Amino acid sequence: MKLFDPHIHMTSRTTDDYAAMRRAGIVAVTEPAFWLGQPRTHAGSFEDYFLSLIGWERFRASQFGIRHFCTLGLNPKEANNPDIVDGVLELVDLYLEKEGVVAVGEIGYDDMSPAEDDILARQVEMAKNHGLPVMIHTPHRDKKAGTRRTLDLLREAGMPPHLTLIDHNNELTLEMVLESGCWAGHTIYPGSKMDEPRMVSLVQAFGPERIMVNSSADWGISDPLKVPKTAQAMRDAGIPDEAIETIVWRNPIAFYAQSGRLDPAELEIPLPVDQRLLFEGNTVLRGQTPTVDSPLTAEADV
Amino acid sequence: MTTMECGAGPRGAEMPDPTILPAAAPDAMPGLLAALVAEQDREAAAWLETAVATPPLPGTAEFMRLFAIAGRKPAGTAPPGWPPARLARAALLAASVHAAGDEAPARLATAFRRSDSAERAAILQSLMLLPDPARFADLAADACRSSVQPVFEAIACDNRYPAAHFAEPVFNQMVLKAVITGAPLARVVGLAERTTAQLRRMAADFRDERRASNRPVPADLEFLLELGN
Repeated sequence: MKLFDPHIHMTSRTTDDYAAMRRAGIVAVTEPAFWLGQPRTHAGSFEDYFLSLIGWERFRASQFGIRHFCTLGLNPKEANNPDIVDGVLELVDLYLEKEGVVAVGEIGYDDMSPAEDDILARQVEMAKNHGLPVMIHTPHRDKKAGTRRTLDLLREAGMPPHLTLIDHNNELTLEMVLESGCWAGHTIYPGSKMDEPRMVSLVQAFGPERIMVNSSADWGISDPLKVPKTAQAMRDAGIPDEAIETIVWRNPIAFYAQSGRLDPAELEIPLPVDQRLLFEGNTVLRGQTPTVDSPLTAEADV
Repeated sequence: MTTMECGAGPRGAEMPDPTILPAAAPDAMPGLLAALVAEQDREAAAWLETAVATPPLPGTAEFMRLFAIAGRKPAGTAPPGWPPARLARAALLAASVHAAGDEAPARLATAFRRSDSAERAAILQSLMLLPDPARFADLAADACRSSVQPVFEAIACDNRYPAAHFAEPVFNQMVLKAVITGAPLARVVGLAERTTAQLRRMAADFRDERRASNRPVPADLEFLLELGN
């Protein structure tokens, strides 16, 4: 079974992770723009970040047989810095048109401050103007109220539910998100957010429709193999393969393909690996012999 | 260092009252703080008195240089919460912020951005010693978003500033983050007075979330819910 991790921050991960992910069956990822653990102090820092997401990182993924898409946006934490927000939004608007950018995201609430209201609303308008879906982060603190407020804002802004992915759901938010008609993401984390057994229970209760799981692996304690591990947990619990494949493959593709920048038919074809290639003269190799269509690319059984 | 300053003890029981801060007019505050440094390190205090006599504006290269040195020059560790090195930084801040007049909020924000974690904690802990501290509420609220726990605790714990100057949504977010990150609520100054129906609702929702996920409910969450009753 081929797997798609619809939310993972590969910039923070190693080549070992890429290799392990590919061995576990992950052949496509979406990397949302987010914060880097501490706030950036200049708008210009975002330009280099966006360029790396559509450039070097996509190349790096390709060297391990993984197709890399991204979403661009100003995350809620950094939306609170008035010195940078206008400059960053100009950059978001500029880079949203690039190839492989499949949504505006991750955007949403953190503190639920007035500044976050403003930046979220402006980016939803941007998504509508660019004809792109939105990928929404829901807050860690005051989550239920924050998710409700997010859904209200999106409805008032006229953002179509079928173009909206609400992420980081849990037992208290999933029902309201599914009722709204939006897609529902679940972040499987070691020790917080959601874990595999709880995810199995949610799928048993709600089925696979509009449900996704992701690792959100980043620079913190997280696990880039959570999508294959959750697929396995669902299989062990007797959930049919058909339903599992809907969750870990068809749904992410169906959602992000609405951008017009992701071709579902192309995703069915394995990405040939050619580590002899260079990106702007640079390579992921450190003197190793380039892998060309090695067993690394063979589909693993998960 | 900061862990000790913020008090590792349960409920901060063995901490001296951190809310007792020197009171003085803006132009007298630097000298008063320098005098406290002199009680433990006369040589460092003499250096400090020279520095605060013609204070550089916050955020300038000269300020950042002196601010860094102030944190390592004085010897001595007592009293907990206000060791001489932190008093020295507070003295420099009090002098420089006073000199900055109306430009103080923007200049202090620059200094904060250019500071390392210990320097940021010193700025946050000193806010109530600065002239017209209400002007720095945006900086303090932004510090609550830090993922660096000693920086977060410098504003959230043993600090009178949040209760005195935070709007309700900012204060509530800070309290919930303290619960989630394990910063003891007993060290959030003025919590009982600032607890509202909205904060209790947020705490109750969070307890529901923990129960729904079969995870333990932090003891401080129960403490918070009981505060309202």
